[in-house]
Amino acid sequence: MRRMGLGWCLAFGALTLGWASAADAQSARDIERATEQLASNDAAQVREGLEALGLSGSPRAVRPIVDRVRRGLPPDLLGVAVDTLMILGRAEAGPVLFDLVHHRRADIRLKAVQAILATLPRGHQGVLEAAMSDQDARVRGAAAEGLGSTGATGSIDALFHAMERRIPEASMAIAALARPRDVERFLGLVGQLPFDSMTPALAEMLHREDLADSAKIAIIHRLTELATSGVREFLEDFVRNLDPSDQGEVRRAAEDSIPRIGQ
Amino acid sequence: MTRALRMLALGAALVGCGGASDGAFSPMYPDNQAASIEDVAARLAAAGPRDVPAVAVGLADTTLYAVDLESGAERWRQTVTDPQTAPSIVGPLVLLHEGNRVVARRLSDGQPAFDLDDDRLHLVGGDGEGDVGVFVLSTTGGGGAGAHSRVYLTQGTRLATRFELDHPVGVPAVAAGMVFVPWGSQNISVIDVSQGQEIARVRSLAGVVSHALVRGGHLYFGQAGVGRMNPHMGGGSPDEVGWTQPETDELPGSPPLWRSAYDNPAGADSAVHRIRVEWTPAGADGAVRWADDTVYVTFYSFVFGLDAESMSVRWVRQLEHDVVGAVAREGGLLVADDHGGITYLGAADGVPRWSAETNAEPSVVALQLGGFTPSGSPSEEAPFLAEQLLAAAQNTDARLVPARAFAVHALAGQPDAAVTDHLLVLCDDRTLPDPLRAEACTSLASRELGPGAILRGLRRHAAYLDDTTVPPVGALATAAARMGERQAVPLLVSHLNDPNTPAQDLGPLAAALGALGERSAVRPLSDFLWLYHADVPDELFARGLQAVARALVTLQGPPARELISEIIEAPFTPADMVGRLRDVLTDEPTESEESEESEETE
Repeated sequence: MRRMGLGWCLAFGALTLGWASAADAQSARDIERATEQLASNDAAQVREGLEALGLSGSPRAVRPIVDRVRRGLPPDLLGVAVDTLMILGRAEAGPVLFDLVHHRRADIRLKAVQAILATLPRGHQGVLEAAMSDQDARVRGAAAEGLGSTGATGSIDALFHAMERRIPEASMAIAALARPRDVERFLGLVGQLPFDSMTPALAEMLHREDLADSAKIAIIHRLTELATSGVREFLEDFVRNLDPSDQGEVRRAAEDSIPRIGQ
Repeated sequence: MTRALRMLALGAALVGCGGASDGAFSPMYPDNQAASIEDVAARLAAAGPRDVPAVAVGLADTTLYAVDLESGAERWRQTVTDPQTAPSIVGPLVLLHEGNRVVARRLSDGQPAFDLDDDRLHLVGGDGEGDVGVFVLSTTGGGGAGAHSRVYLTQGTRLATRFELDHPVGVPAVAAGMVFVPWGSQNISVIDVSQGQEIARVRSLAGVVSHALVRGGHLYFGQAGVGRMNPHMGGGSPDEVGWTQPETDELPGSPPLWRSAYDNPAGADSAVHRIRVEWTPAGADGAVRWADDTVYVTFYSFVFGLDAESMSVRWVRQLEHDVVGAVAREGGLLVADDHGGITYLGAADGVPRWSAETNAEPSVVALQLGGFTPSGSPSEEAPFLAEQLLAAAQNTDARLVPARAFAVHALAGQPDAAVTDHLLVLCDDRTLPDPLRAEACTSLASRELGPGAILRGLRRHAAYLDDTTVPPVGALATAAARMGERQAVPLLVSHLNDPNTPAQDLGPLAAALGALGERSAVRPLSDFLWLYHADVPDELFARGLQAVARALVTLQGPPARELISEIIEAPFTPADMVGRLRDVLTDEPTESEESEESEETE
């Protein structure tokens, strides 16, 4: 029985391997065909090839796309190519995406930043920091937001600089990344930058579960010092949106502060 | 009949008023006669300093006023009617064309002396010395048919003699009891005031003669150039009259040395009064020279002191207000501004030595220095010339753009590496008017000194976080190539790949990479050409790509030609780009290719 079981196992394994290798071969043929389409004079064929490579989901689809991008494409097809690299999500696309962050078309640069965020190739953090200096606000914003969403705590200084240069997405990124000492720094900017531009980030920090209550209370105290009607509204909203069961120190601090701020 | 009219009648009888056929201004009068000219020259030489008071006569709207320059006191102020031109100081008189009358006032107190119907003639100008004066009314018109002119001599504050002639007459001069009247583009009739007769005729073929001027015991004449009367002037050729003609076309506003007196006079408010060349002649023989070897140019509130030989800038002074009157003398330039200021600038450095204030805002001021020498210590130490020029270029008055561009051009001529930094600052300043910035960038591109500034400039990129803008890459690249500065190559490559590099800068950038000959640029250039060959948004970018292809051929020769052929055949290369790339392939072989070919042959 034990022998039979082993035999079945072996037979099943062989079948599975065979099936897998057949599928692999099919995929290789699909990629080859799609790659051939990329060399076409017909834009529709090229687009079809790119889509097929994206659908393959195979890491082997990256190289032909990268090669085709480097050989130059009209802007619409280049956009599709970068989207496809994003869909594939492979870090191997990093070098070409890093180059495309400097493309002369802002739309392509934006897509490149988005693709970098999807593929996270080695060195992406530095590239995203640099992209916050782009002349196009969308590219800057995407890069700043991306640094926040990818947990790039090492970029916090660059993000503060970006925030001071009025990149709104930077404050949200800081809100997502801030440690207590960063919160303190953030609060140093309250009063210097328009309060409205900071409220989403302040709200994010107050709601973050991984941020110490002491930091949140510091936020409330700093805002109380401002004592504007905007601050009062902000704190009232904050308290209103808390879970009623939450009776923690932060809620109490907010509730204590509100009456001290004039209408 | 008044005494003046009696004198006029006498004068007309003497010279044949209306005909000018016998004696004065006759076309038959012998010209350039050595004996008569020697006599005239001797009288001029013996005459001593000009006997004229130091005054400023200004016109501010309908107020005519005179200021004594030595005391700074206002002599008088009179209301005038419908002033047509600038005032003229004619000996003891001030003349102003008002409406259709020419009004003469006493210089001493401003009271009317006489006035004339203009008979549709223009007041061309006048001069005076002591009690003698001369002024001219003319149809003007450049010497064409139908010209008619009247030359009036005055004695004291009265009209003495009138000559009429059917030629255009220019601005006359008076000295040593003689009147010098330029007419008919070539002639100067010398009239002895006491006789009312022409005693000599000067004829110059060196250039148009529409002004006469006596300085330092010599008679000068001309318009675009200046000649000097002398007994040996023979046929009046340029050499014989010592003709000197500085090039003024390149000066801001292109003011002539002397404005043509055969053209209609400038209106009282004309900008012509704010844009002028001033100078005073010097030298006794040979070519006419300029006192202090300096020619001055005023352009609104700017005053430039130029080396008379090279017309290069020695200094530039920015005054607070526009200059509306100026007169040069040995040692400096006296300028009157449109807020009543009168300032004497030193010839060597343009620094004020003397100043006075008058209570007026004139549109034009006639200045006469006589024997008065404004004196004083320099009010400050002049900054270095490059700094003066940079400051002038950075002046924000939009009216001054031609003068600012002139300053930039002059700055570019300075053999000082630091000037490259200054030019970079100007070329980089997007707030400057386009022509000015273009001049700065052209000058920067042609620099051969100051590679440090070029490299510093190229190290900068546009960065939002750093609040920096893209440098003038094209001009910097061209300058780097001129200097053979290979350290610039990686910096240029980084600008090639910078999306903020303007399309129009790609051409010079690529050309510089080609010229600098660093093979390390081949890869970035070919990558760029491949990446963008199918994405050519406009003509400028197409030209940039073409330049990239040329640079590749320069650097690499045949392999680059193969690559370009491949791109021509690539699927999405636009037809226009194909044509441009084919043009590159049909270009003459580059030097490097030729040398490679010859090496292969050897």
